[in-house]
Amino acid sequence: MNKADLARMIVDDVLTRWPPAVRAFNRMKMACPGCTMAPFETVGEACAAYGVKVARLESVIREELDAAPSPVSGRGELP
Amino acid sequence: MDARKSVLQRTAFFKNADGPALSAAAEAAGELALKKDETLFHQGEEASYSYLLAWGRLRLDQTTPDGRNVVIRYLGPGDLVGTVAVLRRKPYPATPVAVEDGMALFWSAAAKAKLIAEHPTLAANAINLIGGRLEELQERLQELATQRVERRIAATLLRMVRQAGRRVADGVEIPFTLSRNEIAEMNATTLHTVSRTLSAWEQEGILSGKRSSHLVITKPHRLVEIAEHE
Repeated sequence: MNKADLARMIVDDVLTRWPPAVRAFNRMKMACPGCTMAPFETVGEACAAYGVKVARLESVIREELDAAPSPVSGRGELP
Repeated sequence: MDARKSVLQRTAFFKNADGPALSAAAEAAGELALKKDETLFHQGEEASYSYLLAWGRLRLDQTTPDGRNVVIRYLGPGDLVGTVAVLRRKPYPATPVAVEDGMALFWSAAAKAKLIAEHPTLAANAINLIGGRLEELQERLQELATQRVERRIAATLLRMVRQAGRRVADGVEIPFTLSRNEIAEMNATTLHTVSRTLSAWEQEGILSGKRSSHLVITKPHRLVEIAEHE
């Protein structure tokens, strides 16, 4: 899996699979967690709406995953 | 009977219900096929049956004392219809109209009361479902009292997305026919205002209304902004 895969994932799926990503979206001032549209929009579309580079969001998600205690860091590797 | 049980099992009213509860409910239920534009019952009629929409979609209409129509909400698969009226022995408060073909299961007032009395899980689920509807109505009441009409219309469309939205190639689709008049009747506003608002949003590329009269939200982020911030 590569960066293009994260961009194509649905925002809600990312937040459900890797709960610490909620903090990453908050840090990037992206109001996706809890948004009605989160089950319908891809990470790429959300990033475009906020003018955030997917690669930047991804690195912030990785920071949050690394910082989170392992039981809550989510299921599987980030793509 | 097993097919009916598997329909019941997937609905919120039967969440965590045990085998005996599902069997009793499946045995006591009747089935009703619904054609588009048919009504399940009429406002003001004695509430003899309560329904569970298995599939399809209903619009809940209410006529005001001065003869105006108000769209209360839309109902989708798994929603209960007429339950409160049946349990409170009151006339039906509104008229559910099928906006597409569908199927409903129904129980007599006595059978529904017995099911709820004998299976506390169902009583708890009913409270949850009815509580959810109450929350939604409170949210809408607050919008009506405090917000500009554009923001209310945006919030209404977002509620439809939450209830039934579907991702399509160019955005998020509300997968049933929703006329501008119906949107007006849900928002205590005029057809003119809804038309003006939706046309402006189409110009801005937020919406597209072309495909078979289903609205597609082409800029979901903008619609959320309008509903929340403007």
